[in-house]
Amino acid sequence: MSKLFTLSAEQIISGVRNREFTIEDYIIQLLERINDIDDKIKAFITINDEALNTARKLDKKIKSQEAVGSLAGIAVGLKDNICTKDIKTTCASKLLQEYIPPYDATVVRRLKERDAIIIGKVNLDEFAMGSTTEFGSYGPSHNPWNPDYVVGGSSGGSAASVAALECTVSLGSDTGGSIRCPASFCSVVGLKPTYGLVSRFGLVSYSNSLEQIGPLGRTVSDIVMIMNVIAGFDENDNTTRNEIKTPEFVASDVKRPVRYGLIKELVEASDPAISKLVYSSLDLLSSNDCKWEEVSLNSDYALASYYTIAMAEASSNLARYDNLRYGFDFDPEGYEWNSYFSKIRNNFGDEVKRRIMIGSHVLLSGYYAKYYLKAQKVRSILRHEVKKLFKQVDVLISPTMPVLPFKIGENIDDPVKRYLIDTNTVVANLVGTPAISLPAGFSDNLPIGLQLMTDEMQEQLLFDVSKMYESVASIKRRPDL
Amino acid sequence: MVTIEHVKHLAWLSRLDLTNDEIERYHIEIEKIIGYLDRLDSISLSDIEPRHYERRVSEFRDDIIYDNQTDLSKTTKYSKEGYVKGPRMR
Amino acid sequence: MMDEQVNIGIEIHCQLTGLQTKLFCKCKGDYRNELPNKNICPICSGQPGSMPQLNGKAVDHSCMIAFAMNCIIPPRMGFYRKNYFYPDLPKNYQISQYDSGGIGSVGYSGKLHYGGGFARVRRVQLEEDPGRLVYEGDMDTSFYTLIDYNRAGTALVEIVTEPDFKDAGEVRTFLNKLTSILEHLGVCNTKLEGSVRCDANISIGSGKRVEIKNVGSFREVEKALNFEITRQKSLSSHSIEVKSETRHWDSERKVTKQSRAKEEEQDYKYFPEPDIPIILLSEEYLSSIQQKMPELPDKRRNRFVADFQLSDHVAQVLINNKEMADFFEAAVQIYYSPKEIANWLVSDLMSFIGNSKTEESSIALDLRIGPKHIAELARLVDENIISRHTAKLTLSKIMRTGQMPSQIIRESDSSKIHDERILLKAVEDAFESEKAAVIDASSNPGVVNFLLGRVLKLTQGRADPQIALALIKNKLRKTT
Repeated sequence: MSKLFTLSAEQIISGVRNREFTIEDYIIQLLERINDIDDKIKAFITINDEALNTARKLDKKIKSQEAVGSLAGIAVGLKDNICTKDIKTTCASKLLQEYIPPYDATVVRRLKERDAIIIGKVNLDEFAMGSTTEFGSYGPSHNPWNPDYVVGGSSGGSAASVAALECTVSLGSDTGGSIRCPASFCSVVGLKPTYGLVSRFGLVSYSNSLEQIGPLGRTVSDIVMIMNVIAGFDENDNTTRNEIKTPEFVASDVKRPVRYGLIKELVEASDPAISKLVYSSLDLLSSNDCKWEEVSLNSDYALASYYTIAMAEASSNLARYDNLRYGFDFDPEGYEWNSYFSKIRNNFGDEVKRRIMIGSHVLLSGYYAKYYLKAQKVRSILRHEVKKLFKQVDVLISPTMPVLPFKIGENIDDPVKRYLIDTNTVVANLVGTPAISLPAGFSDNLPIGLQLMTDEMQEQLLFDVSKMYESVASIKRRPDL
Repeated sequence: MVTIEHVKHLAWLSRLDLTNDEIERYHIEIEKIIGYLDRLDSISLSDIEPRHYERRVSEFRDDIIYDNQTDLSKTTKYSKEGYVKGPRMR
Repeated sequence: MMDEQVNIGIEIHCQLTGLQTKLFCKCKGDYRNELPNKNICPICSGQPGSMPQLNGKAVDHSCMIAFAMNCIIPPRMGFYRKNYFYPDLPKNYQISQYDSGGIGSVGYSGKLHYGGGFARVRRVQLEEDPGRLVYEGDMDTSFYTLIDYNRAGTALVEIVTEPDFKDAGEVRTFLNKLTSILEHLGVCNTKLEGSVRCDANISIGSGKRVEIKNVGSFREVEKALNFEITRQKSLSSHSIEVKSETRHWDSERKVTKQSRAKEEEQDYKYFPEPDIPIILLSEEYLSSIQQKMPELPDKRRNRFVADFQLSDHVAQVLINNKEMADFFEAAVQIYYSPKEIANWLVSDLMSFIGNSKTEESSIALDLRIGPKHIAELARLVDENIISRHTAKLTLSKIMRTGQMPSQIIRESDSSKIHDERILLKAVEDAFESEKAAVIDASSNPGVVNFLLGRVLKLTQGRADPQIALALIKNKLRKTT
C-alpha cells in the first residue's frame, strides 16, 4: 500500500481493478509526493484541485460494480501547452499567465473518456521553444538525477515528473526533439508519433507542420497504453491521418528479426561516453538474432531547415497574442492599437521574441525563396534519403542527444551552440517519421538515451523493437528522491 | 549582414516594443542565427516536391451547424456590453 | 487629356450566404441579428490551440462560382496564411489563397460576358471574413474600439478582374450580371446587408492607379467610380498629377476620401497554411459540380426565348431578378400562357416591386401574390371572362388582399358584359354624348376606338370589347 507512486501504469490499473488499493489512495500519495519533492524538481506549474474528487467518484463507481474506463487510476501530467478546460494553461508565458481555456484538447478529452485523471500541468520552455526547460516564466525545472542539471526540453516537466514518480505517465509535445530530449536527459521513455497520428487540436501551436503530442512514461508498455487512447483520426484536426480510426497497438514480447541502421554521422559527433554506450547497446541487440550496420544520413542542412520552418510558423502562430480575447490585466483604453500590441507582446521571453523576429525575416517576400522554400526543399530531400534507408534497414538508431545533460545556465550564451544539440532529433520531425527515446544507461549518474526511428505509420514495429531493447538493456534505476 | 535597422524593422513587423538593450543584444544573436541559416543558400530550388498531405473534398466536414459557443467574457479582461474592448484605431 | 482611356478593375468579396456554417468552423454562417460575440467558438475566436476545419460545401460553392466565371480550375488547390495585425482578426492572420508554387486558388484566367462586352477574371479565391470593429460615437475621437467576432470566419469568395472596364456604367452592368449569377447559383444573397463588398482600382491614361476600398454595396459602386473618375480628370485638367494612393468611399457624403493612416507597403509574409492539407479537385468531382449546378442566367434566358417564344428583352428582364424568373416558370406550369404571364410580370408586377422601399423586398412576402394568382389572371383574360382593363384593376386588389382573382371578380361582379342588349344601350348612350365624333367617323378611323373607350367607361370597363366594337361599327354603318 505504500509507495504506490513507484508502480507502472499497468500495475496501477490492475491494482485498482483487483481492489488492492483505491484510486483515492493512489492520488493522495502522488499529491504528497509532489508536495515533498517538487520544490527541488519544479516540474509542476498547476496542480488540478479536482483530481481527488474525480478519484473519489471513480472509486464509488468501482465499488458499486459500475463500468469504468480502461485508464481508471492513471494519473497524467500534461505539458502546459495542451489546453485543459477550466484548468489554467499558461505555456509558461506571461501572455497566458491567467488563461483558462474554454475547451479540452482532443487528447485530453480522450484521456478523460477513459477515466484517466489529470493530476496537473507541467513545466516547459515558453511556448515550447527551447531544449532545456530553462526559459519559461516559471523558471527552470531541475533534473531528478542531479538537481543542478537541466531536464532537457521543451517538455522538461513532462519527463521530470515521470522520472521523479510524481505521476504515472505524462504527455508532452515534440517539435524538434522536445519529448525525446528530456526523456533522454531524465531516463524515461518518450515517443514522438508519426506526424498526423495524434490530434493536435488543443495543442498551442508552435510549429504546426513539425510537431506532435506524444506520451512519456517509465516503461514501453505504458507508452503503448496511452497511444491506444490518444492516437487516431480526429475530425477536429484536418492533418490527422485517416488510416487509423481506433488504434490497437500491442506491447508484446514478440521477438522478430530486425535490421538496424546506425547513423554514423550522429554517433561520431557525440560525446565519447555516449557513443560507447550506443555501441554496447548494439551488442545487446545483435545477440537477439538482429543485425546492425552503419548507414549514412547527411543532415548538414536539417538543423537549418528545421529552425527556418519552425520559426516561420511560430512567428505566425504567436501573432494572435494581443491581449484582447485572452491575456492579462492591461486596459487597452487610450492606447493606439499598434503601440498596445507592441507593449503587450514585449512580455514574451527573449527566446520567443528572437524566434518570432527571425521567423518574420525568413517569410519576407524578398527572403521567402532563400530560406523558407529552400528549407522545404531540404525536407523533401531528407524524406527521399530516409525512405531509401528504410529499404535497407528496418530501424534507424542513434543517440538521442549528442551531449550529456549539462548544468542549468551553462549553455545560455551562444544560441547556435544551443540549437546544435537538436541535431539528432530534428530529422524525425522534418520527415514525419516516428521516433522514440529509450533509457540506455548513465555516465557519472547522468542519463543517456538511445533513439530508435522507423518509417511512418510503423509504430507497432517501433514498439516491438523498443520492448526488446528494454528487456535486454534492463535499466531499472530510480533517482534518489 | 543584418543591420540594427533591420532588427528594428523586424521588431516592428512582429509588434514587439523592444528596449534599446534588447535591440542590441538580439542584434548580435539574430545575426549569428541567420548566418547559420544562410547555409541553405547552397541548396538549389529545382524540383521541390509538392506538399505532402492531400485530401479529397468529400473528406472534409459537412455543412452542419454545431453549437460550441465560447463565452468570451470568461477569458476577455475588458469588455463592454458583450463587445471586446480594444485600443483606439487612430 | 480629358479623353484619355479610363481603366477600371474591380475586386469583389461575396459572402457565401448559401452555407449553413462558417468556412473553418461549425458556427452559424449568418451572424446578423446575433448579440455581439454570441456566435463564436474556439476556432473563430482564435483561441490558443484551435485549428481550422474546412467546410466541404464551401469548396463546392466556390467551384460553382469559378465555373460561372469561365475560369480554369486547377487539379489541386491550397490555402495560405496572409499575416498582418489588426484588431478585427482573431488570429492576426487571415486564411486565404495565393498563387505560388503551383498551388493556388479555386479558379483563374476566367472571362465573363456582360452587356456588349466582356471582362477577364484574374482569379476566384476562397477566404475567411474578419470580425467587425464598432465605435461609440466618432471613430476619430473614441479612446477605444469595440470588437465583435460574430462575423469572423464567415466564408468569402473573392473575384478579381483585370482592369478591363472603361466606365462606371460597364462596371454596373457587370455587377448586375454577377448578382444574377450569384442568385441563380444560390451561393450569395446580394440583398443581405454586408453580403457583398467591392474594391476598385482606377487609372486614367498613363496616370497612376488609385484604389477605392470597401464600397459596401453594388449600388454604391457606380457612384463611387463616377466621383473618382471626375476627380482624377479634374486634377489632370489642372495639370496636377494624380497620386497613387488608397481612398475610401464615404457613402454619406458621396465622396472618395484619402485614407487617413499612411499605409505602409504591406508584406503579408504569405506561406502555405500548415493545418489544412492540399485539396484535390479531381475531374470526377468537378464534373459532378457542373452537373449539380443550378442553371446559369444566360442559359435560362436563352431557354425562355427558345421554349417560350419570349422576346430577348422580356426574357432578360425576368432573368435579372431570379425571383421573377422562378415566379414566371411556376406560373407557366399552372397555366401555359407564357407570353401573357411574362407580360403581366414585366409590365405590371415589376413596377410594384420597383416602388418597394426595402432592398430585401420579395414578391411573395411583400406583395402577397404568388404564381397561382398570375396564372389564373392570365387564364381569365385569355378566356375572355374579364377585360384586360378589369384585370389590371383586379391585380392591385390581389396585392392588397392576397385573394385569388376569380374570388375578387365574383365578389365585385366585375365579369365582362356579353349581353348585347346592355351593350347596345351603352353604345347608344355613347353615340348620344359624342355626336361630334360620330359625324367625323367617316373621315377619321380613330373615332371607332374613341367610341369604344366611351362605352367601356360607361360600363366600368366591363363591356366585352369585341362585341361592343362590332355594335359600334354596325351602328356607324347604319348612321352614315
